Amino acid sequence: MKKRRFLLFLNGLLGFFVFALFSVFFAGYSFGIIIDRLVAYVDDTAITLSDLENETEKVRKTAPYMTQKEILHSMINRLLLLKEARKIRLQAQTDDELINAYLDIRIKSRIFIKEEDISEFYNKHREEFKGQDELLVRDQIEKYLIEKEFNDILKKHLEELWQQAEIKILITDK
Amino acid sequence: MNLFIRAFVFIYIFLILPDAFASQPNYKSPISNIEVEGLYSIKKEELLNLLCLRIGEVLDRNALSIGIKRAFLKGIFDDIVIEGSPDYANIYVRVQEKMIIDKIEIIGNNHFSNKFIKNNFGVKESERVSPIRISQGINSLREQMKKRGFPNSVVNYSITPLKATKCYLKLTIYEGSPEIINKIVITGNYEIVRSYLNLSEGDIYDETRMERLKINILDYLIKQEHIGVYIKYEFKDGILSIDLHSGRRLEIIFVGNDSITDKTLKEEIFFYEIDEINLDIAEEMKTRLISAYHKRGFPFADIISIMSETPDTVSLNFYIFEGVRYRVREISFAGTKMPGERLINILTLRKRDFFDITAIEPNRETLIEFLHSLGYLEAIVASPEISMYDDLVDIVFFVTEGEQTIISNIIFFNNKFFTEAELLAKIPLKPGVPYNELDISDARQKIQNSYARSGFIKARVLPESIFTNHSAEIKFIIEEGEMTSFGKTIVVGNERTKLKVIERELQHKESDPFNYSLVLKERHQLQRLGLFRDVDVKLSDYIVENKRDIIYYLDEANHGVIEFGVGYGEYERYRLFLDLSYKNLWGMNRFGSLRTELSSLEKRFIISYIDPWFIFTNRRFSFKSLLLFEDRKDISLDTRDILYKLRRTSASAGLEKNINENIKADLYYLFSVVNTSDVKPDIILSREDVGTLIISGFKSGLIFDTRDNPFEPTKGVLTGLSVKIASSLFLGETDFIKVIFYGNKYLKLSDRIVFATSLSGGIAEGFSSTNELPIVERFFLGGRTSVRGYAQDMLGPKGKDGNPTGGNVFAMGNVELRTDVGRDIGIVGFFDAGNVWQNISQVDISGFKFTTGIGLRYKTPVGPLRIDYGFKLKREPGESRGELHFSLGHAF
Repeated sequence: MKKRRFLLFLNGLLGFFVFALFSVFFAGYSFGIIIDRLVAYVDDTAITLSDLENETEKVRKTAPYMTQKEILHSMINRLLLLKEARKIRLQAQTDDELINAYLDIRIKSRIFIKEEDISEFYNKHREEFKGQDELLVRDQIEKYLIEKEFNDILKKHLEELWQQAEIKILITDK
Repeated sequence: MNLFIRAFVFIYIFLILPDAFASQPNYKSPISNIEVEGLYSIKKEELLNLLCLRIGEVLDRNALSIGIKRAFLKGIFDDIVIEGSPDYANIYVRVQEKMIIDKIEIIGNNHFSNKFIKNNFGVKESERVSPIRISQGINSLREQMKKRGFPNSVVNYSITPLKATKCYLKLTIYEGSPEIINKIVITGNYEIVRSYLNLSEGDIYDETRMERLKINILDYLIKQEHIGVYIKYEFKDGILSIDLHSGRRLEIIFVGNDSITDKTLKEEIFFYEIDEINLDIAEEMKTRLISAYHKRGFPFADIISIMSETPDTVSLNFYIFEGVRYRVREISFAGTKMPGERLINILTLRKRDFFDITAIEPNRETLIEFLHSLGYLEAIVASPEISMYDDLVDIVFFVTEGEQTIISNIIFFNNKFFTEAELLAKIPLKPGVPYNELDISDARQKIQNSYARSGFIKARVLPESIFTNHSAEIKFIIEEGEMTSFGKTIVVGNERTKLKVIERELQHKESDPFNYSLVLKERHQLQRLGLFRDVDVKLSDYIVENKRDIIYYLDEANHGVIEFGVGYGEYERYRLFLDLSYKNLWGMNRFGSLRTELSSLEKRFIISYIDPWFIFTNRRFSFKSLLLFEDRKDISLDTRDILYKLRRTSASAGLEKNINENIKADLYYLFSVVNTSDVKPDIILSREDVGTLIISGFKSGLIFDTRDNPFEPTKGVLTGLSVKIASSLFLGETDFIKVIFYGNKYLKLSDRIVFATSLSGGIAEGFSSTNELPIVERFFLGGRTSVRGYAQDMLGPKGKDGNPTGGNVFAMGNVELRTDVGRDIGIVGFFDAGNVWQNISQVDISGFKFTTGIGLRYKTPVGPLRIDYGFKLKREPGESRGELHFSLGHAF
């Protein structure tokens, strides 16, 4: 009887240590909650985790398919464009206006679509216009070509800016 | 058993599990502990302050996010992570610093030197690693290697971490094969190209030499007055082709220019950038020449230009009729009661100057603007009447002033921070004074500045004037904007200087009203420390609760200096010094130096230490201390006989205090062990003149200095008084008191002439058991900085063998006329007077010795190199006529 009680006591003591170890392990692990951190930087400008979370929440309302990595890249692009706009001393009420002003000067003002390009595009895609006269779809084609050219130049310009700046992304892809 | 199980379950459920699995942060828990990991370069306190983390305060996530960005601006971090316990009571800050390049090793280079590679790579040792800087450095290096004939060079790099944040950067260079010049083909002007070309067949092609060649040839041909020069070079497939066409020579001939030289006229029509001459350009040149004549007092000058051409030359002949040259005799004003002198002062036309006819109209407009600014808003100034007599001109301006407009009232709108009375007190305007637009603009600026100094950095003030008859009501419409306060101060670039050194120069505190002029003042203070090559200040983009952070970007200078010099003086002959100093000991802006001075007469070793920010009884002082070992001989300059030998060990320590910008006070304790030997018997005045003597005492001084430049003063005053007391009470062996005063005044008489004068005197008296001062403490005069007609120390009482004994009283006066004759050379005329007497009872005005002389100066950044020759004006029989002195720095 005494031996059984002793074994039960020993069993209990062992159980206590197992519980205690388990608890300490989890307790220690839980101290490591990340409150905030640097997730990326562009030259001397830092982007924090809370910035990224706020931006993600905002962006996903309109574009739920965007990954956090894509959102971070777009934040970096914005910073690069803002820096360039400030370099040439542009001024605006908001950052968005400043970026638009920069894009107008740096990219849009350089886009010029020739009449030949519109005709060439029309001839190449004549079937898609279902027999509509070129004159009728001219504005539509011009708009499309301007947009395409704008995106191409912007992409190239951003690639250049990425190469010229010191950029580091500190979080893994999500 | 049940008890045990119950106890385990209780402990586990109620004490451990909640802590372990709580995932919702409890925002109410104040921070109780902060641990930081990975921080080497700055103090934990600085980082936590930037991060806005304080023990006892509840964590604010928004502030923390901005804090991370703020800390990142320091430029030393590569990663910052803030972790915490679920209730945010325990915070863990993990940072990773950007590595510092401890050493750059270069391997694989044969043709290019390590110095060339380091200079063109641009990244330096002790910089933080920046991949983009390294990549840009490699590109720039490769570009330079390509220019020097190695187009296929490759540069790779690797980084090896060392201890803490240090790392080692290895550059591996693959130069590739060079481009060799197989053939040189020169077309056009072969001779000129050949004389400047320093590349030959078989050499490695060097683009930089070709760029230099082009510049040199263009310079040469432009100096030869060639126009339309064409030069082009190309290197392709081993062939260097150079094509030079030297264009045509432009020959400009002036005929009839008696008053202005050809050189001056050519400068007026500078033609160097012209490729070709045509009739339009010739006409433009003619107009410029006529204008040049008008400005120099020839109102009737006229010029005819004739151009002729050959295949090699373009000739341009200017036939000049100068006419009479006029000077302005009188300038007067009709129709105004205003004093003529007041109006003349605002004009560029001046009496006795050459008459510049082109200045008449601008001066008339200036007069109108001036009258308007005084409230004569309807003032008219008609074209002046110009009367010419022989070669003189009288000018009369006819003025119709009209009625003066007076300010009737001043009103302020929308002012909340300042009351109307406060604003009125800040401006120079008041009702009843004449309306003056300049004063109104000045008042607007003053109001705006007052707001800016009180934190309203976006405040705008718009003045409006409402006129009724001839009175004006002035309205200042104010947009105050929101008040901004100082946020945190971020200091970037202080790798070797402690933050404390920078913070103590800052005058603002966090939350004080923002004041940009204070920021500029702080920047100036930091620059004055001498620790930084450049100090830049920026306002941070991060604004929290209208608090604006300030970022100071510091570019640290080299703090260690080695100076070495050799010189020659007429007294000590050859001399040499070596000075090792460091002005940022322990990163605290403390200065230490070790100086050695050697000459044929002395050996001197000086160790000094200065702490510019020494706190004593809650006040700031400069602490200065010095240790000196000296072994010297004093000689007679004529015979070079030794007067006495001196070995001295001295220590001094004391405090200096800048009472204001111009007044400085100091107090030092001095302790010296002096051993005097081989003393000429006739100069021994007391038992203390021979053997070992301990001198211990205090010295205090007061200096008033308003000089514009301590090395080359052109205006201001330097005056001072010093008192030294040595006594056996301070463990010395001699007792005396010594007082010295001096006063120097500098006056700028013109741009090139400075009048400098100095008056000084001293008196000393022994007390207790000391009758005569020891020889090292007595006054001596004569030499390069005192009475310059006499040799070093040769004035005053002498022993029976004619050797100077020095004295207890001296008086001296000096006058200099310093002229600058250009090219950093100056000529100085001087007059010195003074003498030394044994004691006050022997002072006799008739005993003054006078010398005059002339000197030559050559300006250097630390004062002029100086040669003076002084003539004795009261020469005693047997004395020389004068003395020659070489030295550095002004005499006073």
